[in-house]
Amino acid sequence: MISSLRHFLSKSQNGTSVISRELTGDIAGHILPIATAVMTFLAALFTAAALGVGSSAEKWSENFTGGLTIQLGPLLNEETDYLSRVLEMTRITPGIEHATVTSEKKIDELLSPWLGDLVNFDDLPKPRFIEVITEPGARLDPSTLEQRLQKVSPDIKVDDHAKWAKRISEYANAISNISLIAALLVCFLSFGAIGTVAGARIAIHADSILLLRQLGGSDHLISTIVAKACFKHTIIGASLGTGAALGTIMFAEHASAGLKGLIPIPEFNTWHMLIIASLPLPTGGIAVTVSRLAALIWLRRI
Amino acid sequence: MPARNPAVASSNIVAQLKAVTFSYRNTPNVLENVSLTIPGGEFRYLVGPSGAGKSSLLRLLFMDTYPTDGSVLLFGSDVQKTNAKERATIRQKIGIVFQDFRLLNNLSLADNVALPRLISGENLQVAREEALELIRWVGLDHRINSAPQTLSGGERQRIAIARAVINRPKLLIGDEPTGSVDDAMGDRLLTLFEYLNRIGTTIILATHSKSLIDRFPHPVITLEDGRLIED
Repeated sequence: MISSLRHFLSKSQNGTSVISRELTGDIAGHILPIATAVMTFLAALFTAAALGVGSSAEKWSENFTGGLTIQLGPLLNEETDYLSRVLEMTRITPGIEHATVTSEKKIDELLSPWLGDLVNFDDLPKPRFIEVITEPGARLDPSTLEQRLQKVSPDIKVDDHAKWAKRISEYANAISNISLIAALLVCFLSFGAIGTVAGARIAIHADSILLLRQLGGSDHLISTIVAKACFKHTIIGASLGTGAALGTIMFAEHASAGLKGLIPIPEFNTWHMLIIASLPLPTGGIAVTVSRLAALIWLRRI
Repeated sequence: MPARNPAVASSNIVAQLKAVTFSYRNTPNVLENVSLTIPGGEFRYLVGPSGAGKSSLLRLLFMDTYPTDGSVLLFGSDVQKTNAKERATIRQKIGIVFQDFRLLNNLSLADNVALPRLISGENLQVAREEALELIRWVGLDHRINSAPQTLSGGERQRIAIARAVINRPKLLIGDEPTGSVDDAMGDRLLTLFEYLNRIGTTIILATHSKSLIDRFPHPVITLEDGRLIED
């Protein structure tokens, strides 16, 4: 496809550009940009989902790995010693690098999006948490730690972040793969749509194309002329579709800014945006390849 | 040295029909056992009543169709044994003036005339300059910026002729090329054809005009009911 596009672009300044004007100004000239814009818009969104969700999941996974959360039931005033004992037991456990008690303020911040502003947090019986960072490569078994701590209080739970990270990562990868498949399906549909429109255009201009052949045009040259006529409309449509998709992505990023940390939100870096912005190029390549192929098949049939 | 296609051979004979029979699908034969040899540099008229097979014979000569039986040789090559690329090369040596002109309405007059040059790979600027020269010669310089569809039948005919000769073809085929123009313009066009013939172009013109043949006498091929009556 790339060599076809390169060859095609190298011939853009000669007479074929002039002749390709004959094959425009028809209904296909209206349908092709619209169909391509819709297809590219969908492909761009699916590609964005595949890239953004994958990247976000990776980030979440990195943040979670190497961490544990120890959850204790709500404390009464006289039980602060019990919290200190658990913290001390945790800190001296081999393989643990760092352990800190989550402040009440932070717990309130975490709960506020779920409970709203109408609740007085001071009145609520809130669980307490100890955030633990393990040493890199440490062989720490969270269930053994949990069993030891439960000797202090049976309701203590040790939550292994790696399990969450794995689940989120699997879920995000599934979404990412489905998005990629959807993007490929849209590409496949684009082949069909562009091929159909190119076929319609060839049928509309059959007399002109036959004349080119009678005047000595080779099948190769005529298919280049047909491809040029399709390329222009496809690039216009693909640029519009990609522009609309980039706008949608930026709007979605802006709208989700307040949800960061609560749920995994697709994150896009410059490379992701560049990949999405370059979608008109492969779309143009598809247009050149498919329309040229449609023209060659038609010319060989007659 | 690259291997040569045995179907492509050099010859002084520009066009040759060998026992050609031709019919459209499920219809009686339009041409019946026609054999004809046209050496290079000839100027011949093709005459016959309507339905005699003149247009079909011309279509065979510019490879718009192929014989049902027999063979057509152009510039020494059996057209049915050549590949698509070779056929395109042969077509570039042929200029055609269609009865229905076949101009492209989305192109300017200059680009219509320049079309065979552009197809041959000529530079756009050079091809357009040559086209403008020919448009002036056929007397349509005042219509240079007009769209093809706004021209009269005679004017279109002149543009079609300019397009047919721009590539300095070795064989010029015309299907009633002067049918839509007045006698004065017809004479002017025939003068151009005779000039092209003098410099080596083989000319085959289908015509109904006896007066044209009288004014510009050349050998005549006569067809009747698909058979060659006189060559």
